[in-house]
Amino acid sequence: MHAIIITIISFLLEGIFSFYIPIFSHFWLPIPTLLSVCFCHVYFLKNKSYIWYAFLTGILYDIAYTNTLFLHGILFVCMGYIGKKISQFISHTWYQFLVMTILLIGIYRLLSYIILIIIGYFHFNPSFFLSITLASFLWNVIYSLLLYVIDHFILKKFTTKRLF
Amino acid sequence: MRKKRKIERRYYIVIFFLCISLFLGLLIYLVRDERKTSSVERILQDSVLFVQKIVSAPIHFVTDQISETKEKNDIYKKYKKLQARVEQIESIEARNKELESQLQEMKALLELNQILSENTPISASVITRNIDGWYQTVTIDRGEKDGIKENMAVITGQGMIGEVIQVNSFSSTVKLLTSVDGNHKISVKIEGNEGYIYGLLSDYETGNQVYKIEGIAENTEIKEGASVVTTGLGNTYPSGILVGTVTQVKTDHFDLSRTILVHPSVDFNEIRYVTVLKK
Repeated sequence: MHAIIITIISFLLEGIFSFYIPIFSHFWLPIPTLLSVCFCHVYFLKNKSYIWYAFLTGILYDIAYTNTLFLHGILFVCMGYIGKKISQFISHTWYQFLVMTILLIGIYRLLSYIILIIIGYFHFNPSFFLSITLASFLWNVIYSLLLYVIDHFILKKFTTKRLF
Repeated sequence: MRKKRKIERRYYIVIFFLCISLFLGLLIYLVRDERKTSSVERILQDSVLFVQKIVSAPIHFVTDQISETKEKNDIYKKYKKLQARVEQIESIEARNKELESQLQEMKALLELNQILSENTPISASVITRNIDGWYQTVTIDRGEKDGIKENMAVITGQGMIGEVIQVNSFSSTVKLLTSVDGNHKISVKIEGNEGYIYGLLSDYETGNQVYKIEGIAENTEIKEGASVVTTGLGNTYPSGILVGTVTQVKTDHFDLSRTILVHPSVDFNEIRYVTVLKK
């Protein structure tokens, strides 16, 4: 339930922020839905239900925000799995968590860029990839910290499971 | 036993690559602009966007109020400017009549079948914008029920912004001209010293935030600040819609042709209301 609430809020935030952030912004490119999917694996007891949750969120994301149906369905599942694996190797401190966030954003950007290049969505342009990736870090790191705060100070009262 | 395991592993690898190929093939099929969306997709997209619209409505209301208050502060200055313009309206009207008659004559001469005035405008609001960086699309609150179809041109008061690529019952997706996929080339004409110069708008430089027009003959004279408008060729964009102004004229690496950089007339960060030109 917590995972669904966090994801719904992140999903809606993504749409709202889109109006107030410049197109081709050099600093602010939010991807809160992806981050919520990556971090919420702790709330799932079964792997299978987590995969379905990530897949369906990705499909909804594609329907609402992109015209590449299934791309984010698969990407969100992959990123959720990668997030889960990374979280097994890091200690539960906030700065290690930020490192994990940066890693996840980098991997997500690289994966999506490679797939979009292969399917011919746009031409190969490394500087474009770099600018988009670098612009993604700041906002999302702040959002991760926000999730950390929410998890530690609010959700703590309702669940024993911790994001970090 | 050992041999059996090896074969199994091979199968796994083959299946893995087969799945990836299938996934990529599916994506290639899905991202085609001419693909018709399924009814399930349409219902889902309309529902998600409806919720999105409701949630963002109060936030938009507050921001609109703030910008309105700011505008009210400048109202006297604007009034003075408008007053000066009103005095010029009569002469502009007379000139317009003259130009209209000239246009009719030229249209008959050139057998042009698609001009801006022949398109019915449909006003729409932007519901969401994709800011992921790669996609460059916006979703508007008008769809099939309002007569929107794929490939219709979308403009704002400032000029051209893109074309409709996907239509649902109550919403549509518009691909912006800033899309850097290079698959869409738009026929444009640039004001030159000796009439119009024709070219193809082929790319958008994300760094400098300018359009690129390539393949212009080396001996053509183009001044910075010249207007770039659509030609009407290609059946999507009507003629005469402002795209931008020339900011730089460069010669290509082989000194054979010119590349023109065009500053967009539209502020893509401020797209809230658009007009779809119904053919």
